[in-house]
Amino acid sequence: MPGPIQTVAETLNSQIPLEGFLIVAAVMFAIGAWGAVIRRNAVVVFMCVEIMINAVNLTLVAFADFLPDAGGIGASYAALIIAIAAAEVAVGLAIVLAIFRSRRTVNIDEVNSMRG
Amino acid sequence: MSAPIFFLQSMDGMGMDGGMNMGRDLPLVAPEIAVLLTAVGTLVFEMVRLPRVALPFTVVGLLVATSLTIPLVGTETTVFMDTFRVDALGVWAKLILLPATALCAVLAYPEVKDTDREGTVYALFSFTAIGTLALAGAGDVMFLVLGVLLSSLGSFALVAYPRDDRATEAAMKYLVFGSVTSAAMIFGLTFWFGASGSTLLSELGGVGEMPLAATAGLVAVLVGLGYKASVAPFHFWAPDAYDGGPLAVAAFLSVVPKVGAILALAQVVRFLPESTGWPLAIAALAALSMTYGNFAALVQENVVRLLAYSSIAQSGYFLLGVAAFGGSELAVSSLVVFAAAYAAMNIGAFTIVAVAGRDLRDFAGVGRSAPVLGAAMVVFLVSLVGIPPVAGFFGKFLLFGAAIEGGFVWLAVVAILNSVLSLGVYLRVIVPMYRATKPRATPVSVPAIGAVWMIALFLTVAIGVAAQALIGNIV
Repeated sequence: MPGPIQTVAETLNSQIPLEGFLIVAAVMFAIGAWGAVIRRNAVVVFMCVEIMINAVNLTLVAFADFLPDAGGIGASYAALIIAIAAAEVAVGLAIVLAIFRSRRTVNIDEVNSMRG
Repeated sequence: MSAPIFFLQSMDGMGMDGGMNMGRDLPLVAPEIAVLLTAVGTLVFEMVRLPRVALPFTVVGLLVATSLTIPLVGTETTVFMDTFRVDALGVWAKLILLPATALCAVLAYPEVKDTDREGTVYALFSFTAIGTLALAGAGDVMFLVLGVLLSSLGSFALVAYPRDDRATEAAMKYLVFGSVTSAAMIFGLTFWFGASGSTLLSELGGVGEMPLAATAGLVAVLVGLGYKASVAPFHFWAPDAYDGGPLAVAAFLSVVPKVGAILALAQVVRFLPESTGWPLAIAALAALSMTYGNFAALVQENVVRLLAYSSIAQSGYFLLGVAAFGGSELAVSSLVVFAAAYAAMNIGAFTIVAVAGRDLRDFAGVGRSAPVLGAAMVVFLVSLVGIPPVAGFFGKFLLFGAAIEGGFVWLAVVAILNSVLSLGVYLRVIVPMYRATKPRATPVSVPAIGAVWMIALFLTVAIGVAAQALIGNIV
C-alpha cells in the first residue's frame, strides 16, 4: 500500500506526453500575446512579451527531450533565445525609460502624436 | 513518418565533417568578421574620446568588408555545418548592403556630429548590418532568429537616438510591434524544429508531411520577416519609425534590414516544399503590399511618410522575385539587381529629403532654385517608378520577368498596374518642384550630404547602364 508521498513521486516520474508540454506552452503564449495586445502599460507589455518568449523556450526544451537524436540542438536553441530575450529587454527598458523621462508616462495610448 | 531518416542523415553529415573546419570556414565569413571589428572599433574610438575618428573608421571598415566580399562572388557553399550559406544571395547582399550602410553613416554625420555619443550611431549601423547579413545568408532557423533580433535591436536604438519626444515615441511603437512579432516568429519556428528534428533550413523537406507544423512555421516566417521588410500588413511601425527618427536612420531602415529580410525569405522558400502553399501566400502578400503601399502614399503630405509607404510598395515588388523562386531561373538575379537599384535610389531620395525638408511644401520650386538637386530627385523618383533607362527599370523588368516565368502572370499584371499608380505618387513630389512658385528657401547641401546623393545618383544611373553586365556575373 503506497503512501501519499510515493503516489506523488510516481505521478511526477511518470511520462508526461509531449502534447502536455505543447499545450501548456501554447496557453502561455496565448496569455502573453493577449496581454501584449490589451495592456496599455509599456512595462507590462514587455512582461507579456517575456511570457511569450518563455513559452517558446518551454516548447523547445520539450521538443529537445522528445527528440533525443537532435543532438542537443533544442537546448542550445533555447539558450540562444534566452540570451536574445535578455538583450531585447535591455533595449526595451532603455527606451521606456527615455519615454518616461520626456513624458512622465509609460502608457502606450498616450504616446501617440504621429498618425497617418 | 520519415522523420527518423532525417535525424540519421543529419547525424551522418556531422560525423563526416568531424565538426567544424575553422580553417576553411573563417575566410568565407571574413566580411562579417570585418564588419564586427569595425563596429567594435568604432565603439572603442568613442570610449577613448576620439569621436572624429569614428566615422572615417566605420566607412573604411565597411568598404574593406565589401572588398573582402569581391573574391567570394560566384561561391556556392555553406559554412559552420551548413548553418550559414555563402551563395549568390548572401554575397551580393554584402556587396550591396555594406556600401549602403557606409552611405547612411555618412548621411548621419551632419545630424549627429558633436552630439553625445556620436560614434555609437555608426557602431549601431554596423551591428544592424551584421544582423541583416546573418539574415541574407541564413541556412538555419537560428540564424533567422538571430538576424531578425540583432537587426531589430540595433534599429530600435537608432530610431530612439535623438531622445526627443518624436524619436522616443517612434522607437516605442517600433519596439512594441517588433518585439511582439518577433516573439510570434520564434514561437512558430519552433514547430519546424519539432517537425524536422533539425534547425537546418536544408532539412525542411520533411515538414511537408506535417501540414500543421509546416503552416505554423510558414506563418511565423512571413510575420517575422514581413515585419522586418515592412510588408503590408506588418508595416504599421514603418511610417512612424521613419518619420520620428533621424533621416539617415530612415534611409537605413528602408534599405538594409528590408533587403536582408527579403533575401532571408528567399533562402527559406528555397528548401520549403511547395505543398505548404508558400508561393501563393507570398504572391498574395506581394499584391497586398504593393497596392496598399501605393494607395496610402497617394494621400501623404509628409515626404518621409510618402517614401515610407512607397517603400512598403517596393517590398511588394521584391516579393515577386521570392514568389517566383521555385519556378524561375531569373529569380536570384532579379532580386539582386532590384536590391542594388533599390538601395541606390531609395537612399538617394531620402538624402534629397534631408536637404530639402520633410514637408511636401518644402519641395515647391526646388527644381528651379536648385536645378541639379531637383534633377537628382527626379532621377531617383523616376527610378522608383521603374521608367527606363535608370536602375529601377531593370530591377523591376527582371522581377516581372521572373514572376511570369514562375507562373504568376496575374501578379505581374498587378505589379504593372501598381507601377502606373506609383507614378501618380511620385509626381506629387515632382510636379511642385517645377511649378512657378516662389521657393521657400534655396536648399543647400552640406558637403557630406552632397557627396551621398551624388554617389547615389551615379549608382542609380550606372546600375541601369551596367545592368546587363551585372546579370551576366550573377548567373
